[in-house]
Amino acid sequence: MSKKSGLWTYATQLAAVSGAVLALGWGPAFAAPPATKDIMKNYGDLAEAMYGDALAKAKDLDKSIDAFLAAPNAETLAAARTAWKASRVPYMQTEGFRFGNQVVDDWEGEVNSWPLDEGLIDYVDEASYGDTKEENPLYTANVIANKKIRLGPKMLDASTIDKAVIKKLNSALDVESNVGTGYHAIEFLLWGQDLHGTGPGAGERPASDYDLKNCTHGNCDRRRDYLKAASGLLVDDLAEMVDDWKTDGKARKALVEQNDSAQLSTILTGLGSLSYGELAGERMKLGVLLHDPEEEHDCFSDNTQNSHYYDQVGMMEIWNGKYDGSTPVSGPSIAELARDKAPDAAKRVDDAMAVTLEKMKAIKTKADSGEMAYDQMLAAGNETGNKMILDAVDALVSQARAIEAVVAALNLKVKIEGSDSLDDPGKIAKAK
Amino acid sequence: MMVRKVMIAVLAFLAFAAEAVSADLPPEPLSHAGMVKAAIEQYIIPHIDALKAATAPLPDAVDNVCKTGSPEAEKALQEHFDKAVIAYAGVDFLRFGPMLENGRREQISFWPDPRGFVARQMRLLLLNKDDTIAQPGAIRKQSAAVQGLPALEALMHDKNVPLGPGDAAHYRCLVAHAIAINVASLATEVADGWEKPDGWADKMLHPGPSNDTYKSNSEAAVEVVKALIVGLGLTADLQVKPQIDAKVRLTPPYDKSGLQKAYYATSVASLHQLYDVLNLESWLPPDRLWMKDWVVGTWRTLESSDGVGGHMPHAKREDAPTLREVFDRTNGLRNMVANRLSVAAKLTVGFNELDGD
Repeated sequence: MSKKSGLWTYATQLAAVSGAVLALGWGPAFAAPPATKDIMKNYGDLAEAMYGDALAKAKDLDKSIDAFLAAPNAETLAAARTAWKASRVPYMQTEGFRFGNQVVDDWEGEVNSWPLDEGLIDYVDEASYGDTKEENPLYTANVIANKKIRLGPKMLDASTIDKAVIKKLNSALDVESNVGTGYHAIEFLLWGQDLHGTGPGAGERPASDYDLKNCTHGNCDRRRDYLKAASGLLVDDLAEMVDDWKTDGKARKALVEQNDSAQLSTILTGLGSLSYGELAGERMKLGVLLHDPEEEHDCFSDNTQNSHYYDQVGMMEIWNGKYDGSTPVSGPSIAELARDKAPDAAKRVDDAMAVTLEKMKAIKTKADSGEMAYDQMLAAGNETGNKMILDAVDALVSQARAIEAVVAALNLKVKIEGSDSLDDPGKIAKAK
Repeated sequence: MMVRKVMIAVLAFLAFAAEAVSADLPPEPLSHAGMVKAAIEQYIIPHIDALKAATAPLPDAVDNVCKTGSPEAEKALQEHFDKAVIAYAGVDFLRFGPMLENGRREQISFWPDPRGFVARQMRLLLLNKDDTIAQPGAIRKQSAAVQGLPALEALMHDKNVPLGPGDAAHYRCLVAHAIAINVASLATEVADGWEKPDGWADKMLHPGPSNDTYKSNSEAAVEVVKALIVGLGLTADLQVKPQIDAKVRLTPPYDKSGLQKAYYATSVASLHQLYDVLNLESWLPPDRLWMKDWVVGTWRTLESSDGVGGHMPHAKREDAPTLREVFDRTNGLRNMVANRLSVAAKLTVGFNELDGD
């Protein structure tokens, strides 16, 4: 709570912050602009601390799942759900490290893939979910109920559900919505489907789905194995990412191998791409345009307002080089460099980020109060809810535009890649 | 026969567009302000107006089919629909300003649709049979997937319950008519958004500190260069790549109407026109002029393909480029614009909606 309040104050009192920056001696009137190597060291420190907190919370989640499986009841399930929500807070703050750092991008799919066709994992409500989907032959494969799953020409032996098996479900048959691991797989296993549509209420999976003595929906032993494997794998994956950001870790090494401009561009590329294409586009705008509750990011738990809010919090932390987590980090930042070299452009980002945070905060407050959950905001005809989301989308687009102006002002360059290259021409179907 | 008519419509559209950009290109580097002005006057406004004109006849055309069910009415509706789609293909990549506002682009044309929203949500809409859908503006409150051209196409091509007189199609006709009105209305809103006093054109032409979007001519110029880059990306990734990479499952644009080739041809020709209007090459230093030849060869390749692996009739190249070559060339041109030409023109290209996963 104190962290949220502190950030909010920080974001909405930029003038005061600027004063504080000057008082600390980082301002342009008193010191040279920070060197790239110092900015990047602090950036790496931030990543290490933030992923470290995500790992710590994932371990807490894993422990709470152990407790739940030891005594499956409503109270232990509620505790596990609370732990899952808590684990999202630090993780979402790290998402600004995506889209620029290849090490993170190569890894992220195992941790936060979304959206997913949950029928791959467990039972679903056929009336609302359907039983087939043209694009995905594994739409209702239900690995918890089936010990063998056909993956094209091969059979997956799922007689024992463990980490290795559930990893093989990710992007199975080259379908992105086949997701076997990560936060959202665990979310589904803890909540089940949200069958309330755009009405109030989240998933209502009973604790007895994991009760070996009073099992509901069958296969409780395998469901337990799945949940534990997914939880353990999340811990493993986050531990790997923490290692990657340690001194001499893969992610830091990959950065220092680039020239100064490319390193600084990496920071802004992550922030701009997360703001625009990912968060404003895929995660928020699409959902409200389709009025589809399946399109909300945390659709089983109705925790989307927090995931979006902490994405923005994290972007501001990365921009400002300051993180008030269990290991506080504060140091030279890209924002500081911009304030020195291009104060107008820097202020534009500061202002835009403050506006976005305000819009995200409004969504969070409304949803957390119980007055209107995020999926209710998406509903057709809910002009108030639709507008709240679209206002945040507009703010994120403006934020990306402001970041773009800093890229230009600092004479940096966001590398526009060609489309995903066709990696292996041998696999490409012969052109017609 | 239908395909030939579609291509005639494409050629007519392109001739109109070419006329709009036929002004002589200046010999000197086009200033950033000049780029914006040229893009708006010679490309954006004519194409947006073309979309407005092409969508306007849709409601009456739907009405005729629903009243008569005659083959002539069906044919007329299909022809109007084709023209609307072709006009839309010329503005698909202008994903900013009035098209971006309120999700109008997605409302007009919800494609690509890799998760099958149009089919699923149309099914639900038709099951509900809520007559209030015919009330003015009601369809606009529904999902974007059920209120634009793909939804109309789905109704036009449902052989089980074809549009026409009679009870079976009554509700479908209500929906189709509402969609047609909505699409025409959206296109009008987009045109008004660009052209009204203090509209988006004015916003781009008058950047400055008090402008809430564009602080400089360079930022406005970046916007149109990004549109070109986005368009090249959309063509490569959404139209060509699914045909050569088995991992990408995507139904071609307006496939039910047989418009895949027409969509590709219009996309490429439209992008070529915008490229010419921007005249980024005018910024190239003498030692980089070789790029112009490469670009000329690339456009020739893209325009010699029919977009599905065949040869475009009357193309400058005699052979049909492979789809792999088309994909690589389109990507190469995107990289050329993003990483070379825009740099030469002193423009910093940043983020677009295609970023992210």
